[in-house]
Parts: sequence; C-alpha cells; structure tokens
Amino acid sequence: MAEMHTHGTDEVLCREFVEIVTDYWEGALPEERLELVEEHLVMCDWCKVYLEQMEATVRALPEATVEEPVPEATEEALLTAYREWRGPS
Amino acid sequence: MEGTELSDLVAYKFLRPGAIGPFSGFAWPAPAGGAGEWVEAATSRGPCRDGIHACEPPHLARWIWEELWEVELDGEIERRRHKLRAPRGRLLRRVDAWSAQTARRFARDCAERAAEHAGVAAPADSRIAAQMAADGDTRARAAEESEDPYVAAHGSAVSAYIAAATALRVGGIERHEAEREWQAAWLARELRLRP
Repeated sequence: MAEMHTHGTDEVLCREFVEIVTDYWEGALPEERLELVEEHLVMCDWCKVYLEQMEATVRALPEATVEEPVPEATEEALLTAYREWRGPS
Repeated sequence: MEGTELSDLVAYKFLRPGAIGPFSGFAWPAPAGGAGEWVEAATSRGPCRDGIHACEPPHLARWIWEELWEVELDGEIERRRHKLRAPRGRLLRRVDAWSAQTARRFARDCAERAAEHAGVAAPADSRIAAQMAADGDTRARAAEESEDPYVAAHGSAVSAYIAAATALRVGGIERHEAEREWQAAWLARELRLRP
C-alpha cells in the first residue's frame, strides 16, 4: 500500500506510523491522531505486521534481560585478565 | 468537539470474528436473545481507556472488518471525525447482510469506481491514476478468489480506500468526499441499514 498513498487528506502514511508506533502502543497519542492511525491500520497489512512485530519484541524483552549467573571460574578468569590488562596499581 | 446528546442514534461497529475488537482485542458480550451486556469504558471491563467507539453509516467504509454489529451507545455521545465515542455501549444485533460475499461485491464495485475515476484523469495524472485503479482491481480480484473472510473484508476496505484515493488524485477533495458518500450509500442500501 505504501507506494500508492496520497497525502491530499490528513491521513497517516506508513512511514509516519513507523515513527509514532511506540506512542500508539503506549496509548500516548492524542485522540485525533489515534483515530487516523487506526483508520490506516484497517487497510494496511504492512503496518499491522510491523505493529505485531513490535508487540512481540516488547513481550520478549523481559526474558532477554534476565541475568544469568557467571560461573566462578569464568569470573576469576575475567578478573585476572582485567588485572593483567590494567597492570600494577 | 462539544459533547452532543444523540440518544436516538443507530450506531454500527465492525469487529473481528467472534465479536472481537480489532484494536483492543476485547471480546464483546454477544447478544443472547436480546441485547448484549453493557460495556463500560475506562474500567477493567472496558475495551478502551477513552471510550466506546462506533460509527455512523457515512463512515463505515473506513472501518471494515469481518463482522458488522448494530450497537447502542449510552451517556454523552460525541461525534468525532469519523467515529462516535460514548461512555458505554452494547451490541444489539449482528448485521448478517455483511458477509464475505457482500465484501467481495463491494470490493469489485469500488474497483470499478476507481477505474471510472482514472478514466477521467487529466493527462498529468492519468498514469498514476491508472496504476491506482489497477491496484484496486488486484485487491478486488484477491478478495474474489479467496475463501478467507479476512481477505474479503480487507480487500473491500483497501478497494474502497483506493477508489477514494483515485478520486482525490483526479478531482480533489470534493470528488474524494463524493466517492466516500457513494460507498456509504452502497453499504446502507445493500445492508439495509437504519439511518
């Protein structure tokens, strides 16, 4: 759809949606803008997929940031390497 | 926009299969022998933080999904740009005349409208207008050839948009508005909607 959009009305274009997708997802858009975005989403599969991908990414983020324990031997090896790199204090 | 009491209004709402809100994912209580349960906005039970949304027949073509429902709104109803907002609402009945088959017919008629607009384009716009009309035809054909109700509904929404965009390209905002009015009249007539 993107290549055939015209801008003679104040509709939202795909490239604009990409810029404001976070605000849309967080519910931070003013109502007037929100309506235009949702009108666009009705008929634009590309932006629907983009939004779904963003939602999937946000859902996956907590798992990606879980701290994994560092094995003791690895920690010691890293500290040794750092001390050698820094030299005597 | 100022709040307006529109108590006698007949409002409509397009939903995904199973009466699911397309943006909220909210499962609307479907009517069982009467009207459905009231749904409040801005509560944990509500689908939207800022209100229950629906629209009037003139704007239906902008909101097409697989199911169309007649809804009752209550409280202070506001007319927004292309939709209505109210503190609460409930489903009254499904508009059975809106089906995948109807969507395919609407998609085809809108594609033909786009071709008509392209046919009267000024030379400077004729190439792009023809491309837009061809895109509309492709979308309508995809809707016609698919068994998937989503493809039919989406094809009709896109085809309607393309017809309006082609009209805009060819004749400016007046022709664009006239095209949207034609689409609204088509839906009102074929679906026998109450005004």
